[in-house]
Amino acid sequence: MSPNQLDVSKEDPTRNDYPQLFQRVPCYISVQNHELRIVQTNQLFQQDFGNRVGELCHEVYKGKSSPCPECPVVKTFADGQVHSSEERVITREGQEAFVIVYTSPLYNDQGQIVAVMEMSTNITNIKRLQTDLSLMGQTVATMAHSIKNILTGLDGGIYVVNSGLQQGDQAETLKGWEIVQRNVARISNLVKDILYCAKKREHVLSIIEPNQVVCEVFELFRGTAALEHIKLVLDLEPKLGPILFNAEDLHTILSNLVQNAIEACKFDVNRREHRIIIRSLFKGPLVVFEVEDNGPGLPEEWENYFFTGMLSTKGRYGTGLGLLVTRKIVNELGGQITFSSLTPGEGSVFRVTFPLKSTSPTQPSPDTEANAAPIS
Amino acid sequence: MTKKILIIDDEEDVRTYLNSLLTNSGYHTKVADDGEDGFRKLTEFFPDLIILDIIMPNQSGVGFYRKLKKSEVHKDIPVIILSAVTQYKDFFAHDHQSVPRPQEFLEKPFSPQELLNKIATYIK
Repeated sequence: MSPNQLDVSKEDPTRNDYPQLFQRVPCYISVQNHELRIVQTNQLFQQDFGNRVGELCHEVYKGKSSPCPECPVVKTFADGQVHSSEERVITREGQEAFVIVYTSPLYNDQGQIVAVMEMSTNITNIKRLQTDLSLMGQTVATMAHSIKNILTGLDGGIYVVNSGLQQGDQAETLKGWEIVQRNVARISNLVKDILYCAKKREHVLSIIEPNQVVCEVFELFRGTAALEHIKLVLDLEPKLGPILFNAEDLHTILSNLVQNAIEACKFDVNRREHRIIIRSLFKGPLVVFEVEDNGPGLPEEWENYFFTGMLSTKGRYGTGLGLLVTRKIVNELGGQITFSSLTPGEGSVFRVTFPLKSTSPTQPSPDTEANAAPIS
Repeated sequence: MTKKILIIDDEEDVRTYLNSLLTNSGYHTKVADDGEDGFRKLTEFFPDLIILDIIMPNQSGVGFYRKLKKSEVHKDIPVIILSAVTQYKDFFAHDHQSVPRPQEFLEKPFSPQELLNKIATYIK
């Protein structure tokens, strides 16, 4: 009988088929030794992380050079108990995944712990659902806050218009009218953002020059940034040629991120000279766009909550939904958006990553083609 | 003598609104666009009352308020908090820095008559 066949006619069909169960269990299994080196892995692990036997687990799962704090494997080696934790890992295709990890000791004949089995269930979809549910509530709160500010502005505009009319003061009337117009525009932006969040959209793809879109966004914000004494820098990857994408979507994504970075810098009181870099990169099968600022940055623990809008650093400016809109577009296009703070107080980087479409004229670079991400 | 009110809010539209409302109601006003600017104006202007927003760049309303209450010269100036963020009522009640609570809280959007009534309670 082949090792992939299970003989269910036997009284205890599992007894002699442990290798197959180990291989086929629908979660990542790796076995680590005392040095935290992987000594054995199952099929799903190999599919998503590659054949990494002999390597350190923190390097494989997270790309980190040192062990994770509160490592459940280390704890199990120490006390022989089962430990669990929730972790964020990066697959070999560069995709972020959330996993719930359980560790269990493996003993030799003398009863000594010789290895620890790490079993990780991918809960990325559950996490996403959880985030979406909490987003819904928080989005309503964000909108209520934005609407309250806009209403105050409108009340103010109407009051100033009436006051100008009563006093026959045309300049005052005009000032009030400008306030009304400004706040009507804010309502319009808010409604656009709400609609964008609520609807599933068709993203019509065509061959575009991504660097050209990046340049357009750069030009769009150069004046605004200069007014705020922020230096806007362009860093383009020259090898990035035409790709199959939606130019309008890319423009919206980058504009929201640059706008967010400008607001972050504006609210940073600890630094006098601010700069924002808009960057395009081409990493094998992935096209990457980054917006990096040297504003105040954000604590790492905020990362999971960042795209809720409520945690936007920009407070009352804009609608507060910009990052939510950005995340939605990126997800719909099959991409990923991540945020990382540089060293505390040294700014942050927002990174959007998209797998190259099969018909893109820009092709994956030959050295990485073997590991190419699936074409979405 | 005309009573003086310092308006601290980072939104220009709100500053214009309050400035117009209070000037029309017979008060002498000065505006500031954040806590830092507010403190500078405070020492020059010495107002009878302060209207204070909470979420502002540079120095927030919370920072300004704590600093105000620690200033021997200015700590007794009454403060009306005017903010869209309502949870700050609770924040001041449990502020670890143990500063006394502001006199009044008003939520945006506010009723101009209610604001004028509250002001009149503190400065006659």
